Amino acid sequence: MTRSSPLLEVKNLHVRFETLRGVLQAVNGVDLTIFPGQIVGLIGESGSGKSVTAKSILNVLSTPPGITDGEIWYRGRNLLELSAKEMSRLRGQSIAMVSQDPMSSLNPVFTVGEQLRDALLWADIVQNTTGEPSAFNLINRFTSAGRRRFRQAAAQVVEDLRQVELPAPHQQVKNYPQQLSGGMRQRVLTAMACAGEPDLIIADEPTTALDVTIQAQILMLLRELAQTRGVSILYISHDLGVVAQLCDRVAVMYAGEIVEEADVRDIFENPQHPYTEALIRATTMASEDDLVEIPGEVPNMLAPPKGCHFWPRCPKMVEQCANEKPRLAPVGQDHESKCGRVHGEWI
Amino acid sequence: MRILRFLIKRLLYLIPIMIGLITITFFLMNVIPGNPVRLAIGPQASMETEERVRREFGLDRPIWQQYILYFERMLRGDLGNSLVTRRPVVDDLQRRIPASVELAIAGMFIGVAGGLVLGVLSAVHRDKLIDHASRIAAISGVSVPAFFLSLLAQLILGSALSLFPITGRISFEIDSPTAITGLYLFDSLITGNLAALRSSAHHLILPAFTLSIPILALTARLTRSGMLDVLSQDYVMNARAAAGLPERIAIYKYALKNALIATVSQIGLGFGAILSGSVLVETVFDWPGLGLYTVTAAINQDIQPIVGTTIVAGLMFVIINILTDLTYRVLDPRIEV
Amino acid sequence: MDGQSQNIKTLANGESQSAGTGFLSSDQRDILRIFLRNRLSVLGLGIVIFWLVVAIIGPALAPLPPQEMDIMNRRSPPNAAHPLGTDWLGRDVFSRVLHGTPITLLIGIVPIALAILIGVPTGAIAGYSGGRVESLIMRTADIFLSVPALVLAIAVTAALGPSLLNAMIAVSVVWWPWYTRLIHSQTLSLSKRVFVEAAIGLGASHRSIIVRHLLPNMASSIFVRGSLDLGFAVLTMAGLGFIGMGAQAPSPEWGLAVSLGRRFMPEFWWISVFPGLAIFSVVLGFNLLGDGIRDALDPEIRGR
Repeated sequence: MTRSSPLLEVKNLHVRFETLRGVLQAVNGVDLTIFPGQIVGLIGESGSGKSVTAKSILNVLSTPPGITDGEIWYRGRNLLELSAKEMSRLRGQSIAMVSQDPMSSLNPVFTVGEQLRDALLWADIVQNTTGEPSAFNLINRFTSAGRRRFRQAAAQVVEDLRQVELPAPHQQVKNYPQQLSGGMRQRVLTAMACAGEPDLIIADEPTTALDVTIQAQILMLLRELAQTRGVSILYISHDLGVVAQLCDRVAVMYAGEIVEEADVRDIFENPQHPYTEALIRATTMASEDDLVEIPGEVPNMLAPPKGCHFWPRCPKMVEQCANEKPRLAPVGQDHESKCGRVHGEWI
Repeated sequence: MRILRFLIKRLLYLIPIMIGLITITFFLMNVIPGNPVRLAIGPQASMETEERVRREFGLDRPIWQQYILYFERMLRGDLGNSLVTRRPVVDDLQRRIPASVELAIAGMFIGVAGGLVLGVLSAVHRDKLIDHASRIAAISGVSVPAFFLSLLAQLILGSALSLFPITGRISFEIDSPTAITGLYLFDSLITGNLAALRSSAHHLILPAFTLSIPILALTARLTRSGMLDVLSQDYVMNARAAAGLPERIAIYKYALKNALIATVSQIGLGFGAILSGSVLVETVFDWPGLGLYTVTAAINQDIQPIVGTTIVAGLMFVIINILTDLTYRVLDPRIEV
Repeated sequence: MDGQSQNIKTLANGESQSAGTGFLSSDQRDILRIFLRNRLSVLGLGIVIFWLVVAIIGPALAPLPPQEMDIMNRRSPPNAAHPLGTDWLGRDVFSRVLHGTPITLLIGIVPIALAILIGVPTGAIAGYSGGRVESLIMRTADIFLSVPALVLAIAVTAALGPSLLNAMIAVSVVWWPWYTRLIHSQTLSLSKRVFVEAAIGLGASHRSIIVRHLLPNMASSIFVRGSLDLGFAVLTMAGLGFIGMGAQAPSPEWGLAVSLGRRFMPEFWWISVFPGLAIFSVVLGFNLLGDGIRDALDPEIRGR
């Protein structure tokens, strides 16, 4: 793989929410780099801040409003400094998201076909206008050019659904999302995210709600996308097994921070952070696809523990862990860890 | 086909409601302390009349027989006579229903349309100036007494600024349009009677606007909360994050339809407020509809018209609710009708 | 709710047990904080307290008795002697508004209290007993709700004879079914909860289950609904007064005052406008307060 220049570079990202009970630091100084064509896994328990990280890349943190700090570089532009209009033009066209739950990610009162058609129509409008693309064209059936665009998009819908291997696409376009199975909906969502031919897809736990066979099919689909179209994927999951199947590189997130980052084989063969070790142990010990919990509780992020965030649950903690904040530092070839004991910051 | 079955089921539901309404009004006339015959014939009638009416209505018989007789009378459409107008109540009602229906439709239309706009703007610009302003306007709208608002409208827009006529449905100089439906706007439009159309529209604006205020407030509130709820759903974020749709389309095409369905499902309740409000608004604007008729009857202790309007208002309310349910079911693909 | 706020809730949860100092539990302090954070709720509370104080000390402070006529100064506009003017009999509008305050608050509270007294037992019985009793009670409630509120209230008052007391009875007759419905659905859902099932299993009597277990758990929703309904009751009572079905002359009741002053519109507007504004502000206060209480107590909204 050519390690030319990164496609996306997140630098020192902070996201906090102001809640009734105080300030909640959901993301605390995250760095993340994705190269073209690379599949990066971002892994962590629920509430670790991985979804928030993903949403702030696309600036779709809406409820409650988050306060974002840091830099997110994409093709030479800092996304956090883009205007709403510039960001809107980027969304779906350059970076698209396949979200968490296929059950709730499609609008229940519009047909699948119409939702995908609008995505394709908009991609077409954006690509074929030099200036400001006009939202009016999304409802413009009054001119012959408008009608032609609608016809083309409608034909493209069936074609795209066939490409994501949705069975009987001709019939499915007339159905409402709730008439489709979870796996079928996930395929529709994937087709939707690909509508604008983005070069980065952020997949936020897209397979959580699916059973194992369907999950494997969706993963295969994503892999194919990365290989055939050279799309980069940021794959967010709590499931190490899935990440092992799919990703090139893995970042492990805990309590708003990245605690370890390495190539996928390295992480599994040679984990350099107690939390990663615990995760791997939990996964290998898990009998089926159900979650095995790591002992202890995720820290309350309104008042995170002093020192290393993991120390209250860490089997290897020493006194320094509870008092000093460890750095993320190299522990090998392209391998970084945030454990003070491992990289020799203390002891 | 399914819709038809739903409609039939709901229309059948009208039967127990009818029975209930007739029973309630029977209660009002008989179980409540007081002399029902006196209530029916009024305080001025002689003792002989009282005796005659008592026998005529079968009031000398046991109470359950009276109930059956009353029921039969109601089913025949015999609502008795009004003491004030000295006409059968049914005739009076027929004459007055169109005026009320026209006012109610106009009020409902203004209220729902205005409320939708206000509610959507409020939700989209949450916690901005327009949101605060429209929420304060909405809560003021449900707090102001309808009769007081009518008076203020008359005082300011009618008297002080002379923008609108203060009372009535149409100017005295202009003949009412040929009666087809009894709705002046509709009839004058169909017969091409422009003078009548202008005058009746001019007369309709103030009372309809006043009547619409509580509905406007209710719709704005429902739409705002429905819209906020929808906007926080994954599929709205997804329309922007996955499909990349511009915010305007994500909001005004996608989210709006979901919010509309939620609003429509509850808007039928607001029609009760319209019917209640029209009693007061018609009184102030001297609008010759059911509300004014009820009030005139109530002041004169004329019980038969009150029984009639209670039943008619109940039926109208129930039918409107059936219609909104139907609309809701047609709009929402999630419901297997 | 989306995943993101869900997560934030999970994260924030750990704290709720830890804090527990002072007089109030952390939940109660949250309720208070939500209520006080909303400026409109506080405004509503202020308006209601203001009118409560006026209702108690207003009649004593009023410059003139409500029926005192100043024959020489009939229909005089607001001036130093009569800050809100005088009516067609030369009575001081300001004094009459003050004297009308306790009536207005009373006619807001009494019908709702009556409606609760009817609605709570019927709803609890319906939800608890089920079967025929349930359907009889609930269908009756449906019928009452199928007639628009003011129309039914007029019919009941007209049958009973127009008076302030009968109008209050009429409004409670119109409004009880809402409480029956509320309590009915709450009883149904609470009956399935563990602690009620446990009590039944331990052989507690029906009465004690309803009184000791069900009602205390419904108190907050009755309170929320009641505070939201106060404004409605005042509006309906004032409406009845306005059309002559409520308070009778010479009562200083505000709805009646607006109605009688109508004859002198538009020249002598102050006779109607000031009592009308008073009604508006009381109802606005009740509604703002009711909304604030609902937002603070409703667990759906809390935590957002």
